[in-house]
Amino acid sequence: MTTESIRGSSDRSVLILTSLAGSPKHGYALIKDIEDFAGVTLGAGTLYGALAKLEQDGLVAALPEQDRRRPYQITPAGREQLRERLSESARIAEIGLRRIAAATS
Amino acid sequence: MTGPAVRGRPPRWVRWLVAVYPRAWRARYGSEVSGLTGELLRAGDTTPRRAALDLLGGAVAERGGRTASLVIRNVVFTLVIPGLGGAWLPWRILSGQGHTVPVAWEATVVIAAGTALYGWCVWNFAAVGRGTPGPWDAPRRVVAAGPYRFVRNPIYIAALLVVGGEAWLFGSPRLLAYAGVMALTFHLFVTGYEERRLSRSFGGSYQEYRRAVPRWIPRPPRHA
Repeated sequence: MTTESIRGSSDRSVLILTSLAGSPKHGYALIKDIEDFAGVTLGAGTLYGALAKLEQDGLVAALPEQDRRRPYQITPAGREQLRERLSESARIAEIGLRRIAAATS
Repeated sequence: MTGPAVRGRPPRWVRWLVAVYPRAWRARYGSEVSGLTGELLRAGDTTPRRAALDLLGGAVAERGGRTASLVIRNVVFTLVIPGLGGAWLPWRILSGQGHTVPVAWEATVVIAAGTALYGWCVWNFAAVGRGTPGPWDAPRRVVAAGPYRFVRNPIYIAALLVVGGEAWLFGSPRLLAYAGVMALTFHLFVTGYEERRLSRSFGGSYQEYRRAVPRWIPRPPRHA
């Protein structure tokens, strides 16, 4: 995934949901995890913009504050939505790769 | 949970930038965002410049860019309409007669009062009605707050205070006549066009407001 492709807010929410699908995390851990698996560093304002939207839509939920940081976890609805969106991306990726292979063979 | 155990208060400028976010958002996420920004800065994961841009970008996104647009529309309106009618045209009238030396400085109090009243009206149109005083970009609802609790047409009163004050300041009968023409024009415009249009756009809520608040002569609001 290149930097260009994660500009949109929907892509940011996929990154956040993907990170939370592993385990609940607070803001700092989320930024570090996303940096690790996607190579993208989100700022605090950007991260919480997307996180607030996800919480409003019931896709993530805040856990009680721990050590002055509030962890977030993915909800069942969030897991379901992430599954749908990733399957859709995977389907399109597969078609695209097949076409590239056919055109160059 | 991973991440270094960095603690402490974020820099003051971070808290100032977080203050730009909408109030409800700030109440829920403000301390988390400023705490996280402080952590990122201390851990060397971001620079102050990048953090500031990110926070500002986030605040603009949360406000949907609407506040910036409202401010610009109101500044443009103010420069064009009151700028022309309350400053440029009076100045033309005065300089045409060589009446450009102030004679009664106490009139500046009246001009200042008119300007302040105008500012109060614009603030309410923007903050409550999300619009401007221009009929082509008017508020989306009946604004019955601020000066509009006392009188229905405070912007026109503000304009007359400013121009009347200018006539007094420069001792210009011609500018006073201009203010008189303005007053008559306002009255005809309000009764002949504006009130009908408001009735049509807002119906019941405007009728109710019209019954409660006088057109020109301010009156203390009656509390329900």
